[in-house]
Amino acid sequence: MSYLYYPGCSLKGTGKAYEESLLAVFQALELPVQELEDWNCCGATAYMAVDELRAFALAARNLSLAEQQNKDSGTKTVNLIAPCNACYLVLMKTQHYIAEYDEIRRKIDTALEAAQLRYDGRVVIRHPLDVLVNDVRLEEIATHVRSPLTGLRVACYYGCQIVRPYAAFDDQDNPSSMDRLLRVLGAEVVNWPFKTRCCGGSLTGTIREVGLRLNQIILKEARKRGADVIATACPLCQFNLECFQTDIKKQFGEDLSLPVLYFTQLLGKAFGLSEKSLGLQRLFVPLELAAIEQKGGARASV
Amino acid sequence: MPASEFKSNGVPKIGVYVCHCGINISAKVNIDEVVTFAKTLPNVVVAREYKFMCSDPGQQLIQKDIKEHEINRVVVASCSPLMHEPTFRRTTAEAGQNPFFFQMANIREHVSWVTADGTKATEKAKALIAGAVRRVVLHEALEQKRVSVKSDVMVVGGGISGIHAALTMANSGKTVYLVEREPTIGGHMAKFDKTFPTLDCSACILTPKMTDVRSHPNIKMMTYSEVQSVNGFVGNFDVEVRRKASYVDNSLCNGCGECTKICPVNVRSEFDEGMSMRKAIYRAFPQAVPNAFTISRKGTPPCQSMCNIHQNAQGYVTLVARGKYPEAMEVILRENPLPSVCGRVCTHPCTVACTRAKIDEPINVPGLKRFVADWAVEKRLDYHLPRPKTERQERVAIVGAGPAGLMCAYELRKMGYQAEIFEAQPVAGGMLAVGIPDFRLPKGTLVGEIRKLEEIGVKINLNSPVGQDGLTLKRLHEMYHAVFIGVGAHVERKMKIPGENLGSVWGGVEFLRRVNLGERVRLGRRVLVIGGGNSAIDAARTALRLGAPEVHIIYRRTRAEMPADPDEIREAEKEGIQFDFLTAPKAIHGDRWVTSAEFLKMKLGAPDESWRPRPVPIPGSEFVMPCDDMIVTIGQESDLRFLGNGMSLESTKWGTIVADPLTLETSVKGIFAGGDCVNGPEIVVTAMAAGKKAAISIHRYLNNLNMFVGREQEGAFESNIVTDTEGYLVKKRVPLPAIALDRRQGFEEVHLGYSEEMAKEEASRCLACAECCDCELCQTVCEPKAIDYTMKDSVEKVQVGAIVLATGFKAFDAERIPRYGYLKYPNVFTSLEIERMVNASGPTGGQVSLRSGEKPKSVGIIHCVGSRDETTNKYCSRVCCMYSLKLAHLIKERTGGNVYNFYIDMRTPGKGYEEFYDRLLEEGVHMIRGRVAEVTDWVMTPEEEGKLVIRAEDTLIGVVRRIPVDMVVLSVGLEPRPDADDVRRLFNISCSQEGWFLERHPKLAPVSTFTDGIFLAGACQGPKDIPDCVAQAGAAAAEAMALIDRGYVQLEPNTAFINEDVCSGCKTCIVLCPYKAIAFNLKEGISQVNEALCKGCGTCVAACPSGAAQQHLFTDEQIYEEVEGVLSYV
Amino acid sequence: MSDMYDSGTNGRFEPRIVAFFCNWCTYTAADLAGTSRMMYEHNARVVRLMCSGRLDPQFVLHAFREGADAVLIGGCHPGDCHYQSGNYKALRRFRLLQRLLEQMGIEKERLRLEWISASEGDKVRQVMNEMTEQVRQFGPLRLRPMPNAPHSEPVADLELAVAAVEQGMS
Repeated sequence: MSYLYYPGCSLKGTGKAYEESLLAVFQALELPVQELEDWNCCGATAYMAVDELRAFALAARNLSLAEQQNKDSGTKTVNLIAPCNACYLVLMKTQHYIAEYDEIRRKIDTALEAAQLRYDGRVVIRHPLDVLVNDVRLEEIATHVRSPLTGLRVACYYGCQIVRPYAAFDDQDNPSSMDRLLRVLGAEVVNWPFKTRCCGGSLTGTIREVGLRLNQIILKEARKRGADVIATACPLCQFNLECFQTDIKKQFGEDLSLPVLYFTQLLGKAFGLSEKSLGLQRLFVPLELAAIEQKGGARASV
Repeated sequence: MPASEFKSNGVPKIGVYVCHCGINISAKVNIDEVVTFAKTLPNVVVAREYKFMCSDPGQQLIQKDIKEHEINRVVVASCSPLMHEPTFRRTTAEAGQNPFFFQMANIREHVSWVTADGTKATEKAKALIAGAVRRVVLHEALEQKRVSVKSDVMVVGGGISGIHAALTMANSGKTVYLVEREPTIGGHMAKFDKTFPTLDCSACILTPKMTDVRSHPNIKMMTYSEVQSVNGFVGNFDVEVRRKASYVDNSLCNGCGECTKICPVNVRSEFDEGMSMRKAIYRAFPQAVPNAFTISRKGTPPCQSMCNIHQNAQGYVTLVARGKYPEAMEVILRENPLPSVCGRVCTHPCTVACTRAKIDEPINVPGLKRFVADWAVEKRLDYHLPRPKTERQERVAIVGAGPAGLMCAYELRKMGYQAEIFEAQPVAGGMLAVGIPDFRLPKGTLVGEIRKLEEIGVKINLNSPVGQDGLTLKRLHEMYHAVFIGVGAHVERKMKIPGENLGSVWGGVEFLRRVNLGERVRLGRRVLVIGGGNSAIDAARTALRLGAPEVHIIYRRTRAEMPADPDEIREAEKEGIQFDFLTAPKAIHGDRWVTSAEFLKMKLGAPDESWRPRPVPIPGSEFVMPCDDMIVTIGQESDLRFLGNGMSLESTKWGTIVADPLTLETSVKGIFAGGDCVNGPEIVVTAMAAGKKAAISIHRYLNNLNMFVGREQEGAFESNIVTDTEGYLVKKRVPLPAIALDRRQGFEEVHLGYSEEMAKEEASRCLACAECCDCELCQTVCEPKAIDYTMKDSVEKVQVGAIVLATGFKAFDAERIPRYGYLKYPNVFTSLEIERMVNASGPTGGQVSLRSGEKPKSVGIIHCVGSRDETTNKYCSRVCCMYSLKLAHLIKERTGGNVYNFYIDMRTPGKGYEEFYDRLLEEGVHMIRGRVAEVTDWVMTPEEEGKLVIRAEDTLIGVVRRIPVDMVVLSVGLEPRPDADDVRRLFNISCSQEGWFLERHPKLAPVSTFTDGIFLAGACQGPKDIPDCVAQAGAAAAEAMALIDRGYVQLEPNTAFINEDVCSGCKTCIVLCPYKAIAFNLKEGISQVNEALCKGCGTCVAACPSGAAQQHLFTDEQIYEEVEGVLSYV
Repeated sequence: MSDMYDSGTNGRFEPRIVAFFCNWCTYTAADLAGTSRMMYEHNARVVRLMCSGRLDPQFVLHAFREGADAVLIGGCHPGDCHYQSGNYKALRRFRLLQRLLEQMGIEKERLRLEWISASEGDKVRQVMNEMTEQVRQFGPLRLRPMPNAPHSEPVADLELAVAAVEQGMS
């Protein structure tokens, strides 16, 4: 199976490391991915709030491009990977509304026509987690593990958008795909209630104290549950949780520093890929595996 | 067409009466306009309006006109005919009219209540009236048929509603059949401790009613039974009730309870909501009615069904768990005379099917079997195989004393036949004796178990090879009544390569035989074993034990494809045997003795017929390996030379005997064959299965019974039992101890058996898939001999005049709302679980305690779980607020802790309910208004540590609160029973959107249904508390008795009839009638309707090509007229 | 007053729909819609049958001939028929009729069959509204001369069809 890849703005900016690690991992798995040509902004949550219909049209353009680009592949359905949770949700929602409401479909069709485009609804929007767990499958992934993450305690943080409201590939209340994936890598998954708890989204930029508070809660609980690292599947979550740790320390007077990685970076690490290819050098809070292994040893002896 | 053509009452003079229904109609419909319009219609002589046509003055209006204006047709435009048609028919009848010169126009439900615009409504009303007027002209005088009513009644469901309805009717002298699905009546109420708001004890008020039911002469209880079919119609229902087999004869059972004491099986108690265990033979609770026991048997468990000889594994495993080893031995011996053998060398298909594997690992069934067998030996348990009850003279010859032969002999002896075995070897046991080395199967045990067989009269002739010195198969066939051949496969196949016949090149079987028979076998420095099966491993490990310093196993595929048992491979590796994979011999070198062998490297290719990748030689990869001995174990075949002359016994080109797979009979009558000599090399238990199968065939053969019927379930089959594996803790298999490697020089057995403790622990992992494990212990202690395992389900037919449905509700499954943490956090309980907890006879004896056993200091009760919620059920379950308060009171009383109620609204509509609420507020129960967001173990403050935190918005003070508690109680709502839809189809009634049974009218007919004679009581119609259930049960009983005591029902005269002059006799109608109400009159050559059977659907009428078939009240013409009427707008 | 093009509803076409409802499920559902005060289009007039199995194909054609713009048939859900299997017979006849109507150049959607159980009052509302809206789109079925509507041919075919049916289609 071949995949189209929709980076969205984040993976070219703050989430660069996500893109780097994702592509590196897919390459290691010999998974053919091709970036969607001439893609545009998904509109994100912001535009949806301002003008839903325009937002739909904007997102629909990407879907129609995907169909076009897939034209000569011969396959009927088009697998479009959207790694950013926001993109994933917006595209899903658009897809959903087009299928559900003729009214909206008609309007979007006319909008696309204006740009000599059409959309037949053949795109399947996929999250990398979904692809890895359900297409590649864990058995296969296990065979690529070169340096297992033994002793590493991970708090899997899915974010709010990939299972809500559309639980396309995982359980809505208690998703487990990332947990299962990381266990295969030899990591230990901490059991915590915050898998899909809100990271505040853009609140860190708008109502700062609230945004910080929300992230403080998550970081604190992760440390409390003995996590060595938080694994995320969303650039915004990663950004919020990692970049405000110093501010949080100032605000709440306790040090909650904790590495926050993309799950793809951990995957790459287990595959034995180079730091650089996984964009690990971009981390503000680096992950010292060696130290953790000792800790792990110590933990074991306790 | 003119009315005069119809059987009528003269020229039609129609009166039209338009009802205001207060303002229900007049608010939308312009009554005056309608009346004026009505007056313009043909044949209408009077048209009037009145506030309430259904009132007496309204009706008198009609009667007056009938008398004074000689109205002979009446149209009333008001509500739905389903509402008042009977009323107005009576009106006209009382005025001396035939009631069927009447038609109703539904201008309320179908017009004023559903039309926004007044003019439109008026227009529609006119149209409907026009239709009615046009139609009524063609109405005819009709007679209503009377059908007598059966005087007995049936109540379905034995909860409080069913009980009350049954008692009410029985007290008035009706014979009542009370059908209950469970073994006892009592329903949900029997589980409760106290009842709100009076706090009187549920049992104290229910059990007297239950005993009344038992002792009432007019009530026939049908517990553990289900209605299977309902036929007939109001007043005359034919009901079939399936009485499920309880395996206990209630008439004999005296309820002493000895059986439960001895029953070894523990399963979760439904009555205690799974919080305690019950036995497989049980009584739900001490006051159960009837006070009898039931055995829950779910069928053949997977372990037993997958075992080729159907060993009752669950049986002996369970008994081991209880330390009942002799009983376990007895259970094993029922099916298997060679327990210690199978316990050691069987490849145990049983464990493959074990349900426990879904949780962690399958039970070590063979390990436990071996434990029992060894225990029997150690403890010198002088056990005996079952002896035949009656001896029979027929003699059966058995060729070969292998597992197949021995099993065949055993089964034949059990049936009383004389079994005589002829064995070529000096020892009995076949491969078990000569093929399997001592370190896996010590000979002592085998010999011991064979002796037990001889003890019950199995005759074994050793050193008696058939086919030599006069002892031919032919003679056996003549001398004996039947012959079974189970000679196995004892010849090693050849590799067909040069040098194979050199000295010190062994066939594996021969090699092992010599060692096993005690010959001194010398081996050189390096021994190469060719092959990948169990015998290769056996040979290699034996060679090692004979002192060979270097032993290789050479296999042409890889480890993954090796047929040998993985455990055995692992042991061999540990012991230092080297494996050379992807290697195949090409030639063997040496002059007299082998000195070296030449090999080819292989690579794996496409799969072959065995679905394993075919090994493909790599050209030029030849290499030579020096060696002193070579043991070839590439598979065995049978030596069939003995079949010899005179016998035309067919055999295949693979050198196996041809036998019918179902009966194992060979091409020669009276000769049967099975095991390796028929199927090629297989495992012990399949050979034994063959012996058993043959024995069954021989029995049938000797008694001229059909050998083919009903043999599908011999050998392994899929069990249909599904077992709930939710909520069990992971508990891995107890490893089987083995002796240290340095002790493995000799032939000492490698695997030690379980110790008693280990065995008990391992056995206790069994999930009791079939519940009853057929150990038959209860029968041994039942003095009145009430237990009968042969009992079957039976079907009872009863005829009743009316049926009351009281099938109750199901509690909402709290797991469906994961954020409340049920089954995730151990101390989150459902309200029903707490009901059992606070109950003195419950699992904790009335103590409210956490899973840890301690008392909770704080408890949170969450209301509306599964009620008033878009995502689950939108409706209010009506009882939760009150029972939550009750539980709050009881919990506070029992624990003295803090109790928090989280509610949306408090709903206390009922006598004394609000007062009870006040009382609780005074008792200091905390009330927090707001739906709970989640129950979490995320704690923020030290005082929250180790507690469950309930997060909810307190909408009275407008803040989000976090309440830490020790225990959470989920007040689950009420839901329709999962099978409500099947039940309603059974009784031909309707369900509401939510799935509750639908009443005929929400206000005026709350306990009737749209099917006459079927009534509703209790929560099956919608959520209800006990007082409402009882009240409704009484109402249902009264309605049913009203129907029955009238003694007859009047049938709507809307039956079909056939105009004999027109009928062409095409018989189209006959096949269409669902009630076989139409018969063909041969003499006249026409169809005729039996009005007594006709239900008036009119299907035949619609289908009649000639229009001969018509339906009273719905003739084609009447409908045409109505259609034209409604379409003829002003 | 009320003519096909109703001035009251600013010239909007008000179709005439005849609805044949079975007594046990759909008619009861319509009553439920009433007791629940569900407002819906007024255009359909309900004719009560004991069972949808009573529906003679001629009723439908007759309704069309008498000026109905559409016909709705309502019966119990499959498996729920009060008379065991009448609704299946109705389904068979419905299929046949739809083919017939198409042959005659009448939109087959002008004949509609719906399974509506006694508890589905809201479905009655929804179906009534949908159908009225749809038939509005179609416009009137001109089979017989109507005030301010030209006479048209199909009527001849229909007469034939009715005749054909009367030859015995069941």
